[in-house]
Amino acid sequence: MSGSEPALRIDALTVMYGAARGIEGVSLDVAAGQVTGLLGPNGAGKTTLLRAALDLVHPTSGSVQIMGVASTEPRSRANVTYLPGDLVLPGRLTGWAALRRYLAARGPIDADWIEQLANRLELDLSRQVGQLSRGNRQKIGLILAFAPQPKLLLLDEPTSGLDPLLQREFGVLVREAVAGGAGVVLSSHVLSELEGLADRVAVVRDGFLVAVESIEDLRSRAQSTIRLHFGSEDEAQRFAQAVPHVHIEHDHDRVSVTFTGDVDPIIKAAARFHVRNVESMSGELDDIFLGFYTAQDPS
Amino acid sequence: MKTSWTFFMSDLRLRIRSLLWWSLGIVLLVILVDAFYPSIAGDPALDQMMEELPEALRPLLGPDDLTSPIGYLASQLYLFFLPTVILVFGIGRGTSVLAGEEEDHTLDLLLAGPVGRTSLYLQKVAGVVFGLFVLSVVSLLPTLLLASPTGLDVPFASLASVTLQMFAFLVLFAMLAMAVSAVVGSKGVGIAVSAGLAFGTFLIDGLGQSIGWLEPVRNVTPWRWLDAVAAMNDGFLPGSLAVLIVASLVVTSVGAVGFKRRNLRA
Repeated sequence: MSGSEPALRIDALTVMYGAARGIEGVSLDVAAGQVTGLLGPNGAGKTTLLRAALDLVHPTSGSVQIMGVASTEPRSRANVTYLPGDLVLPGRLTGWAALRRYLAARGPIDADWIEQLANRLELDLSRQVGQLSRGNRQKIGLILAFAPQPKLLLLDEPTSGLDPLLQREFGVLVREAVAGGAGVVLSSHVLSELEGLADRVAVVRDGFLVAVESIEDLRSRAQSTIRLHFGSEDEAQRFAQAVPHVHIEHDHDRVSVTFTGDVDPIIKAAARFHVRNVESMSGELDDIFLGFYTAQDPS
Repeated sequence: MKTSWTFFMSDLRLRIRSLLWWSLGIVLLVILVDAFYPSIAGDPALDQMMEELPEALRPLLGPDDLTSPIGYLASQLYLFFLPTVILVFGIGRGTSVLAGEEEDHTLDLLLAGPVGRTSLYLQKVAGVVFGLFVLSVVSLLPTLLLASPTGLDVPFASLASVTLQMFAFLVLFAMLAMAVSAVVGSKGVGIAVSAGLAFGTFLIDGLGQSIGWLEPVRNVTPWRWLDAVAAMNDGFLPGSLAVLIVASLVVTSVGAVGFKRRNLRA
């Protein structure tokens, strides 16, 4: 990417809250036209990282640049929008008034474009924020993030509270922004939320950046569990002996297989038997990455 | 960085209705106080009662001649009552505009845009000062307009000067409330500190007028520099006004620097 500025450059960033650690020694570049997922359990430092990029919390050491401008300069934020994880808007304002208030510093607003976004998200901007459901308030947050068409979007748990249909529309918005050359950072505590959107995933744990990998690589290292229900106990037993696994539990005619990488060898092994049912038991992040974390822990 | 007043305007739109209600309330309050004047004007009993009070208490109640127009307005409005009522507004607004927004989790959204912390702080200062200015000006109107029916015919210069003193006094406490709350990140602390200081310094100022060793301490109380009786008797008081303005500027500078350096809570 030489010659073109990364949308976001985080260089050896450490943020301390007094003696407590927010994040430590994080370096991460987000190129224009790229989506980086920020993955980690709650309290890992994802939000601190995003808020440090906006200078809401100051670097204890290290630096952040947005389109080449230091984050400590207010003008750096002309190129970035932010969707907070726990979005709160003044309840008395209408959707329109809230948008005008929080977009005010960015110059004149494009009412047609906002109207278009609101229609796509099926949101009535004339209603008071206080009367809206959590999902509908979140839509105002999405409009705040996407309307200015920034060079960088920092979205903290953006799809929380959105129903599946709107999550898809959100995906479309992200891809449009990326096609327009924007860099996007998308935080989540669930890997599946990032799938299909993030080009790569930065894994944060206890304030440290422990890995930056593609979704495929992460998946291949992450553990998954499927449970197969066989036609007979005998078949289940024979399957259990044949299949490659990390961990296996055998209970009469049911077998739970925990594995890493592709599910393919397991399916192939199961195909020789009569399989009544297959359940995927994708766990939460904490379970999925347990092995990954302990292996990578730098502290 | 170019200065933009977008958030001042946005806040104004958000708060204009509340400011109008406050204005109406202040006007009614002053009308009420003014309306009582005819019934006590020239009644020697009140002045006599003042003279019978212990000397230490007398300054807390205001000037000696309660029944003259200036004595009445000073004691019933400008020495304590009106500044205290508007102070409720000033401290409330001062602590809400930054610390309140931080506690409501809406400050992040304001500062996620291309606005500097100092610029935002100053825009919020302007909003609070504007509100206090409006309330100060409207508080002067009833007395001015009702001068002949109530008999409170004091010179305009007296009213203007005491209103200006009160305005500067209110700004100081509101800026104090704003600075403390913004630097600590807590509305409650800002209210407690500024209201506590307002009350404490009021006592010191009052008692300092009759207790010898407290007299020099009066000079650090904003109430001393409110100087309402002198403002009504002598008109424009550049010295006292300057003390209040300089103190406000110092407090605001400290507040803006402290706010800029802080890590804001999520």
